[in-house]
Formats: sequence, C-alpha cells, structure tokens
Amino acid sequence: MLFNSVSFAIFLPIVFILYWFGAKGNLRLQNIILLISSYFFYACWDWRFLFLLVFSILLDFFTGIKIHEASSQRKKALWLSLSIGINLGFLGIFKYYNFFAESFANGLSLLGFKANLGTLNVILPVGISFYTFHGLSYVIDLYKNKIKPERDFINYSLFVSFFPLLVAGPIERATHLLPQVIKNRTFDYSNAVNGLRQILWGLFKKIVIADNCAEYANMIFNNSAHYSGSTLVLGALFFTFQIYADFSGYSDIAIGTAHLFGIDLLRNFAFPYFSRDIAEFWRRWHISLSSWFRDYLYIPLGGSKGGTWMKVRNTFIIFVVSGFWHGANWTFIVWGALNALYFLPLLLSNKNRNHLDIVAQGRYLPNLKEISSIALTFSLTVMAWIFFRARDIPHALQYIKGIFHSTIFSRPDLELSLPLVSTVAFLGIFIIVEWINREKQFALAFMETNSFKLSLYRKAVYVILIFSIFTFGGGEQAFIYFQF
Amino acid sequence: MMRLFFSKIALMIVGILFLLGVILVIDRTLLKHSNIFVLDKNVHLLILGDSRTKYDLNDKILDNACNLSNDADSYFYSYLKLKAITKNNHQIHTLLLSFSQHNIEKSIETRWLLNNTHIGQRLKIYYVLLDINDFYFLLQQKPAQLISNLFPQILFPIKLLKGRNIYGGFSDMDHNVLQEEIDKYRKNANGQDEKFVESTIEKEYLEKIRDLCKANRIELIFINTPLHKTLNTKQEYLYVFYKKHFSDVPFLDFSKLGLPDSCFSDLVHLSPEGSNYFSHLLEEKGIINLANEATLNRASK
Repeated sequence: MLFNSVSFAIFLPIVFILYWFGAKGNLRLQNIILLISSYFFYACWDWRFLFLLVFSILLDFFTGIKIHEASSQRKKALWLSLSIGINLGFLGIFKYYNFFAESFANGLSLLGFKANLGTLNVILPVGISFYTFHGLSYVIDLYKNKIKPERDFINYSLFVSFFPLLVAGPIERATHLLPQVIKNRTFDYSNAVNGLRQILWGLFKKIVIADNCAEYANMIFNNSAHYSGSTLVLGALFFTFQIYADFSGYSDIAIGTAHLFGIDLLRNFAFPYFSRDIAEFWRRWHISLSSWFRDYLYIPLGGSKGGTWMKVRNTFIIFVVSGFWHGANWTFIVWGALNALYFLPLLLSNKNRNHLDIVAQGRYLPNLKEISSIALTFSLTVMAWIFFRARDIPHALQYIKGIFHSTIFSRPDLELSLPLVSTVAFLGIFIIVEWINREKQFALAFMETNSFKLSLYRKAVYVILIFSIFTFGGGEQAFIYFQF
Repeated sequence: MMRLFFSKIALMIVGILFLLGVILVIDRTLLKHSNIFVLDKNVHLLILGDSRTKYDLNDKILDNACNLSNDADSYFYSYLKLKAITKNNHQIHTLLLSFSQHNIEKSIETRWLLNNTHIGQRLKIYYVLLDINDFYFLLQQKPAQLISNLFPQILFPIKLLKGRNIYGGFSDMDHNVLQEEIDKYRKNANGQDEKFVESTIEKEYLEKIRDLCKANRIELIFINTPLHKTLNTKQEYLYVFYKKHFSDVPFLDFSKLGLPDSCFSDLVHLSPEGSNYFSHLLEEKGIINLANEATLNRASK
C-alpha cells in the first residue's frame, strides 16, 4: 500500500475515524487499533514477511527485558549481542548474503581460484532495514541504561511497527517515540491541520516533482552511453531532485500522517540542498539515519576524539556503513566513501560545525559567499548521486566520463516538450518555495491565522497543489527508499 | 475541535467539486463553440476504429471521407466520437468501423479500455464527451481513475487548440519493424493459442454504435484491413462472433488481401505505400459497392 495510492486514501480515513471515534479516548484501544492497522498495512505488501516483523519485535521485546534484568554487565552484554546478532543476521541473509557471496567469488577468481557459494533466491522484506534499526536502538539504549524496558507488548510493538514509519522511516528512537505511545493522546486541531498540510506537500513533492524527474532521470541513466555531456548533467540533476523529493516527500507524508494521530515523529530533512558544506548537508539529509549512525556507531567508535588516524578511520567507517545500509551494491559503498572524502577536510580542519545556523537567516537572498558555498556543495552532492543511481561502478564511471566530454557545451539531447517544460517549471517553483520557507519545519507549515485574506490565499495554495498533483503527476511509482 | 476539522475538510471537498464542475461546464462550452466535430458538408464517409484504420485508410484518397480513428481506440471511445459527430453532421451516410478479432477479445478490456495509464490519457480529452450513462459506466469500472482525471480537465482548452487531431486522424506509419516482428512471431509461433473469450463491454458498445447508426440512418460497415501473410490468421472466433451478434452489418474482410512486404510497416499495419495502395483500391471499387457485394454474398450462403 503506497502512500500515493487510492488504497491508502481509503485506509487512512478509516483508521483515523476508528482511532478517534471507535476508541473513545481509551489509550489501550487506540494503540490496539493502530497496531492492527499497522500490521494490515504491512501485510498488504507481503503477508508472509509479517511473521519476520513480529519475530523481530518479539526478539527485541524479550531481550530488552532480559538486558534490564540481567544481574551482571557480562550477562547484559550477552543478551545485547544475541539481539544484535540475530537482527543483523536476518538483515545479512535477506539483504547482503548474495552480495557477499558474489563479491567473495569474484575476489577469489581474481586470484585464480574458482568458487561458487551459490545465491539465495529471496526477495527483500520491505522496511527490514528500518525496523531492524528501531529495534537495535531500543536494546542498545536499554543496555546503556538510557531507558527502562517497555513491558507491554502492544506498546512496544506499536513503537516498532507504527504504519507511517514502518517501511521507510523516519528511524525512531525509543526515547522519543515510546513515551508518546504510552501517553494519553487527545485530538489537537492545529496539529492535525498541520499534518494534513505536510501530507499535501509530501504528495506534491513525490507525485509532481519526483515522479516527473524520474522519467527523465531513468531515460538518461538507462541510455547514458548515447547522450551528450550536457544531457548527462541534466540526468544527474533530475536524479538529484528526484531522490530528494521522493524521500523527503515520503517523510513528510509519514510525519503528517502521524500528526493526525497525535504522534510526533523525528524530522528527517531540513532543506539539505541549501547546505553550505557537506557537514551541514549531512545534518540536514536523512537526519534520523545520520543521527542513528552518529549515536550508535560513530560515538562508540571514539567519534572525533583521538588522533588524526582515528578521526579518518571513524569517518570512513560511518560513511561506508551508511552507504552499505542503502543496499548491497558497490555503488552505495563508493557513494558513502566519496561523501567521507568530501567530509574529511572539514573534520580535520575543525570546520565541520561551521554552519549550524540556517543559511541567510532573516534575509531574502544569500550573499555571494553563501551562493558559491551552496553551489559547490550541491555540485559535489550531484556527483556522488551518480554512483548512487548507477547500475554498477563501470556504469557510474562511464557516466562521469561522458559528462567531462566536449559535448558538455552542446545543446542537451532532450526534445523541448510540454512535460519537460512543466517539469522544469515545477522544479523552479519548488526550489523557490523551499528557499522562502527554509526556516520552517516544512515548506507548507503555515501559522494559524484569523485573517480572511491570508486564509483565502492559503486555500488557493492548497487547491493549486491538489490540481497540480492530479494534473501533472508523473504516474504512480514506488518510493525509492522502499528498496532499502 | 473535531467538528471544526471535519467541517473544514468537507468545505474544501465541496469547494473543489464545485470548481471541477465549473471547469467541466467551461470545457463543454468551449468544445461546442470550437466546432471541432462539425465536418465539411461534403463528408459522407466517416472512419472510426483503432490504429488499423488510422494507418491504413487515407482519407485524402478516399472521396468525401473523414478518418477519426486513433491508436488503441476501443469501441467505447469510437461510440463517444460517433455521438458527438452525429449531433452536428446529418450528411454522414456511412460509417466504416475497424473490426478484427483483437477488438472483441476480453483481454482488450484490460489492455486498452480499463488500463489505468490508457484511461488516464484518454479521459484527458474524452471527459467532455461523456454523458451521464457513459459516466456511470466508468464510475462502475474505474471510479478512482474517473475522479482523479477530472482535475486535468483544467488543461482541456490548451489541448483543444490542437484541433480535431487530438481525437484521431489518418497518418502514415513513421517506422518499419516488419522484419523484427516476423522474426519475433516465428520464434514464438509454437506457443499455444490462448482460449478466446469475448468482451462483453466491447460488444455492448459495438451494439450501441449499431443502434446509433440506425437511429441516424447511417450505414454501418465493418472493415478488417490487410494483415501480413506471416500471421496466417484464421480468425474463426471473429466470424463466430460476427455471425452470432452482428450478421446484419456488412463486413469487408481484407485481412488476406496478400499484399507484398513493402506494403507493411509491421505485421498488422500498412506502410505509407500500403495505405496508399489499399485506399486507392477501396476508392476504385467503391466502399458501398463492396458492402453490397458482401451483403449479397452473405445472403447467397
């Protein structure tokens, strides 16, 4: 069940009505309704993997209690290792086994040996990377005594499988979401209206921006050998906006949907393409994953403390693992390593926390220095996305080689058609709207108003967005991050 | 607060529905005043159907003819066009309609008429032609598509600027893939034929076309345009269907005309040379004469 589908448009109001009217304010009943809905939502993808999800939840639920009750630190560590081992084991089998088997065989063949470890014919359970990380954050926090174990299975299960975040995040923390799950929730009008606005903006980003950019990005990447350098640049740009609008659009819909149920999810994007350096970009892109890796991998490894070698090692580890988290392909690993290379100079010169504020705060336009920093960061990001999108490393290298060709100055090979013009026009409008609203949580986050004129203006914006979604939508396409 | 929330949502929905209604009224008015479906007074022969008639029958060669066939047009859309044309053109006395086995197969419903992408593209221009019965039919079949495609009607005036061609018209095939298709066909020729199931929807709209022709005193003639000899099509189901439901309609079957390879762009569509030859052939022999012959042959059997 996709967020941008008719079935979700029917599912959501039904759950909303059951939740607020059926449960009549009874928290236990509300949580049961949300849990059943979440399992139903997940079963719509593939009901067989529901068992895997429930097993993962049961595992962390029980090991969590065991960690808390363990009499010694050694026993705690043992239970934690068991949970991490099984969780990562499942992730390894479903997501990475074939990659390792093939890479190992290829490596041996380079040395003159032949090996065939066989491959598994399994499909990747949707959301496994996300719910595994939910569970891991819970048991690790318990081990570190940051939280107390949740002894109610329904509450814990809802924390992991709450349907808006189940398949593609944001990756929640027990410290943030669990307290909300066990607290009484009452309907908050402005919260719900804001949720609807965020859903609308998310749908616009996904259907109008991402799905239209996808058509050109796919066309150019799939036939990259036949296009001029300038067209390849456009292809990379289309993908850059596709992946941002797709994933941040998904996150907006997830966060907005949660607001309808009185639940606040972690922010996942903060206008990352306006970043002035790569460090700022990574504070603004897929925030819930970046912070997860920071808290549960980077800092335990020593973080930026210690000598230069330690800093370099930790930076590479976190970026490469982050890349590998996205998928079992060398392209993701290179993408991660490339970002580490971008990041290192900032870290080693202690400039990685230079831009903690919002760019051009309180001003309409950025200054020249800001413009050049944004342009440089954006260009580096676009270059990295080529690896992310390419089929394999040779394809990425061929693509980049194709860009740096004399044809980069030629007219792009794209026919000037209405869909192309409208896509570019919408992209322009999208960037302007995002820039104007960069100080807000999301671009459509309006404040409540009593002004009739302002209210009318907002309604006009909603109507324009709704018409754009239905009129200029690029067709129903799955969200990119569902494959991770 | 909840009441306020629901009332605001309801108000928004009502407002949008009202706006959509206004857009639809404007579109219909513009269509009416565009005279897009008013044909020249000397046009007596109307050609409707799918890509077979679109690429095979050149209305510049056929005297007093207007070809409004379009790619993958199911009978539902041919019916909508015929309704719009009969309202404004009493001079039409013959309708030549594409009729071959694929048109009446059940699978065509999911591939063409009820395919989500297809219906989305079609409704952008056909929405304004729907009457209450057509609307109800689509509402039963594809409610989500019907509702979501109301919004793009805001762009209909821009589409209207392109003229009658948006609804179809003769054109030359601009590519030739005959050899590839022959190779592909021969490679897959050993596969068993799928069981034929007739389309109830296509049959229903074919009947509506027949009734509409009768009501407007238009002679309906079915035409099956030439197919490449490789296909060796038996078309037994087509004849069973025809004899069972439409034996009163003259049927010109040219599927086995035996044209040379140069006359084909692929296995089922004629090349510019082929359409030129075939249209001249029809013009020389006279469609009405051929129809009468077909009727006589049928009567004598």
